[in-house]
Amino acid sequence: MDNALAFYAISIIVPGLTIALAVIGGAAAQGKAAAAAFEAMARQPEAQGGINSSLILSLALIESLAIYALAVALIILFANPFISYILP
Amino acid sequence: MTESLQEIIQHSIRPIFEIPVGEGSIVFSSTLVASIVSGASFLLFVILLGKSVKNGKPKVLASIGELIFLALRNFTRSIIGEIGDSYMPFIGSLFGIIVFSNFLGLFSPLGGMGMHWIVSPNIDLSVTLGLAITGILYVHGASIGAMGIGKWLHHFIEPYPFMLPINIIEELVKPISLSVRLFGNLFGEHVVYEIVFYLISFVVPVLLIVLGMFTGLIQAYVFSLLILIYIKETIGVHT
Repeated sequence: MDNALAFYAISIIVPGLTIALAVIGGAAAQGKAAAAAFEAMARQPEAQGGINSSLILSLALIESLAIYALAVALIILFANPFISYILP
Repeated sequence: MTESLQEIIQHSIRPIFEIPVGEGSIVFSSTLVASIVSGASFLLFVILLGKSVKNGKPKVLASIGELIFLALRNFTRSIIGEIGDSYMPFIGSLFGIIVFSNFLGLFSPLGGMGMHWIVSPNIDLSVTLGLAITGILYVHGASIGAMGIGKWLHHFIEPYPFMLPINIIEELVKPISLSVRLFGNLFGEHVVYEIVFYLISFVVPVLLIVLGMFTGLIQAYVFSLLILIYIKETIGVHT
């Protein structure tokens, strides 16, 4: 295969895989966190406020890991730093 | 003269107008104009709220102002207690300006009508990095003000002196993670929004607007919550 064609193919496949893999981990972790929080809320409804705010905080922190993967994928898609080696 | 989808996404940040200064010129990009607009509208909103609250007459705007004030005070007090009142103005304005910026992005399809400056300023990494650096500088200023410069320097060598490089790296990573979180969320949402609006521009984007309002509020909440927690970390341990 032509070098440039291989480069384009790989730089299309890789961002998709990046997002897919990152989202698998993020979704599993967010589900676990939410399930634990709901369990705690069902056991102790009066502690709802505190659990809610720390749940949102931890969801945002978990989500930010997936967002880092999204940032990398966006850089590969829209601002590939190595494209000048292929297309001079 | 309709643009393709790729051009719409790639040209989200584009120069709007230039002011020639000497040899070169200052370029006003769309996100810069949008952040000026959202900041100015937030300022106007807050000034109107303050005037109507000071007026003393019970009006709609005054009661909205009191509601916002009480919610903010409860928010800061629930994180760092009574001393949080002195950090409330900064946290509140950070929250407000991020919400106004995010909500400006909901009108971004108007860009197709020639108003290309209507985007959320937070789809530009420079804007969010600026917000995050401002927040982190405020955190350090607050911790110096709360416990003195000696103790502030000492907290870099806690718990052991050889942890100094790790602590410094931690301080440098904080603004990067804050800004990339806000940027990634908003830019990802912007891309999805533009794609769906390009494909089906009839009823479906309304659902995305609702989702966009939700994410905008959540992200503003998380940003200000994290700044508050950083303040709590740096002052709470020593006082």
